Amino acid sequence: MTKFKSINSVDKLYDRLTQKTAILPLVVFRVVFGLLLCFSQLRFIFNGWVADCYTTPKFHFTYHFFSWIRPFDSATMYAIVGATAMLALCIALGLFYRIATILFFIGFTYLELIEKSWYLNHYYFVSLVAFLLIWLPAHRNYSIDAFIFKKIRLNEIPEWIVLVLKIQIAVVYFFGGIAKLKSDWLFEAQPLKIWLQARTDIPLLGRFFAHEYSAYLFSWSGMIYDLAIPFLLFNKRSRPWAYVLVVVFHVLTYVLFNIGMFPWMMIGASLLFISAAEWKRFFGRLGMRLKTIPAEAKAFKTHRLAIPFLVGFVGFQIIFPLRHYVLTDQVCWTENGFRFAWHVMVMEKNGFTEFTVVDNDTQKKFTVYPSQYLTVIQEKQMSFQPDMIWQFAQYLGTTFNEEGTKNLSVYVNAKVALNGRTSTVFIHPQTDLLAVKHIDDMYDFVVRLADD
Amino acid sequence: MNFSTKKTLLTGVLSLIGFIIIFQSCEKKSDAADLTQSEFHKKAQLVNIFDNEIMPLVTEFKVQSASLDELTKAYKANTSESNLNAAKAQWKNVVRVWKRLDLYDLGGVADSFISFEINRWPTDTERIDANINGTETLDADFIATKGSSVKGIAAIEYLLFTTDENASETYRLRKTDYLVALTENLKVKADELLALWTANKTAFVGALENGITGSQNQVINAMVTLIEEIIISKLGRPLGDTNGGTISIEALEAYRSEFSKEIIQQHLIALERCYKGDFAQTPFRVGFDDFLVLIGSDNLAVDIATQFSHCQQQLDAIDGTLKATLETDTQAVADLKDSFRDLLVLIKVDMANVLGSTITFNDNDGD
Repeated sequence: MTKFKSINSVDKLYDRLTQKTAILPLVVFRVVFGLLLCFSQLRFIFNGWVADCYTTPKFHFTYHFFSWIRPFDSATMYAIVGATAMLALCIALGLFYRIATILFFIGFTYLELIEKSWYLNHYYFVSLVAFLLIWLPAHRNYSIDAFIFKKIRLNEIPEWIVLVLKIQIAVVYFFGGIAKLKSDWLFEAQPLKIWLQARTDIPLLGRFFAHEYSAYLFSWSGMIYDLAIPFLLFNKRSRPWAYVLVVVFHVLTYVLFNIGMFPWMMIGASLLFISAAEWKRFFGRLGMRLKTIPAEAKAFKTHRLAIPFLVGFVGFQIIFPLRHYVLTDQVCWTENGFRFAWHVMVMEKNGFTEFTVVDNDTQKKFTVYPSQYLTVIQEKQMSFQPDMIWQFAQYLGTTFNEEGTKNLSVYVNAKVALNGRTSTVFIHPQTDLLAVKHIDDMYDFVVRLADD
Repeated sequence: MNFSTKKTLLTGVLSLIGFIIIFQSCEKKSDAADLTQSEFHKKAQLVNIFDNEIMPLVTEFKVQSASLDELTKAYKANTSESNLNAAKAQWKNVVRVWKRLDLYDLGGVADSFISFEINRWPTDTERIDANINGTETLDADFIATKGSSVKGIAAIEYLLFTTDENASETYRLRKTDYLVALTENLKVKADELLALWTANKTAFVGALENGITGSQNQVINAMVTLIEEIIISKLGRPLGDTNGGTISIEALEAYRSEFSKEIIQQHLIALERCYKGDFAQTPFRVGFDDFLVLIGSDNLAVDIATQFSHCQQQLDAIDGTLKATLETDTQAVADLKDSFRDLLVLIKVDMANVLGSTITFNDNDGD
């Protein structure tokens, strides 16, 4: 009887996920995502970041399991970033959509995997969305593909297609909120106390930032916003206000912080929550009518693996960002499990490192300052991230032992300051980093933050 | 969406547009009365740096460079030992001023690369000798066409402080010509520097923004860069940091004139004065220490001041020249380097942390 009941529930869920919904919100998402990414990639080129990130560094901090990813020469790298911009434009236009999404996902993810010191949460978000778009029929109406190939036109798609993207957006917010549930954020109002003090130059609002209460106000409201906004966007009744809140919140973060494309990405992505009926009513009020393009294709058929994949994907999205709870109790300090977990703007952290390479046979010592080998951004990021300190030590081990015959040790003098605390020793200074065989073992040599 | 929700949406969007318009229109405000307390401090600090440190130093540099030019010309007219010594002493006066001014290679002045023209270290002695041994007329026009590695303060040191007992008469004569041409060029560069800073005053004291282009952040980055240069190049290399611990006298800056310690002294004075804003006996002495107190980091302000004193103590502990001490008491030089490293940590890590470097003096996106 119970078994029968559970099968019934699964069926109900399946029915719910495959029930029809309008394609329009997915199309809006496709257009906005494509245009924003096109702009973002062009901006990357015009800011000179192709050289700064890919071709200038002599050494790259690659990701675990992806050390084989390497940049090409300068011209090729410019071509790849330029190509991803054009592919993003193709996605927006719905031109050769399937191939554009596949190539964009591969190209963009390749670019992000080259250099860990340039990791940003929204780059990870873009890769995830690009991956999802490969499988989703976002081009099957209001697109050049649908204009040319009329037979692919759809007006309705199964609910799960929009839902999976909504969940992806909700995950960013919700786990961004969970990442703020820390004593520094809630009870010390850090790092906002520091950041708002630094932005008292902002017209009108700046005057309030000199007062401590504004940091607490922003900390708590930011946390509540992140945790609540997905639910407010899902709910039909609260959606209009919620979207206004999305715009106000992200414009504010853009004005206050050096946060690049992230606010616009989230403002654009959240448009997905607005239903076709709401779009039509909205334009109707403005005296405009959204034309329904007749569908010629048969109804979209959900692949039998789609729902299991959806469940697996959502499961991964829920579990993976929480892995740091198992790995460490000081995630902002150790950064073990920090990346790919939506820790968005939760800390002000600075570090200093000085490496000593010792030739154990001759007892000769070499002092190495990272700026001699790394770019400014690489040095800054490496100075407070244990895995990157380990990677740089291995690089020094190789650089100082080209013949491979020397018996070397590498030590680091690392000092780090977190959220306004006085700087303190970060890695046990007597640790021979070349003797630490695995990158994950490096976290065992992080000195505990005393007052956390 | 019913009518009221649409109204809500429209109100929200219009409010946002209003906010952006107000924000943009307020961006370019210049009225001092509109400045927040923090901006007022920042403005006061920048004006203090400009009026009481940069301009007096630039003016002094012009005077000292002109004097050096006169003395090298006197030496050319009469190559006596006393004239040579007078030129050497004057070179040291030029260096004393420049090594304090060196910190302020900022904004439009830095973009002109004039600091390289004035002092690029180490100088390229092989190319200098090749120029002297060549046949071209060695005058200011010749120098103007040459790169920074064969001119400026370091090149002048090479010519003034190296003996050439075994050199030919032609070499000696052309060497003196080269020396005069260099000091003439330096004099011109000192005039250019004064003109550049005069032209850049408004931009410097007016850049109150918190981004990487803001003058205060540029000064912090310049302090960090200078301290790193002292640690890595001016003390680390001579101590053998890059060669396995073998002392390298020739890696010292100005080892020929044995002026290396004085150079570090002048850097330290410049850094401390910049930090404390303590340039002149005026009531207008706003420095980074005041700024730290303003944002509630009183203890850090004291810690940094204490570390400056510690650096001075370590420098004072070196009795003779840096060159001699490197050979006789390496540990004293190593201790000096360590004291600068601790100063670097306080400024690059602790001060940057409380000032919010993530959103201020960074050049890339964050999230």
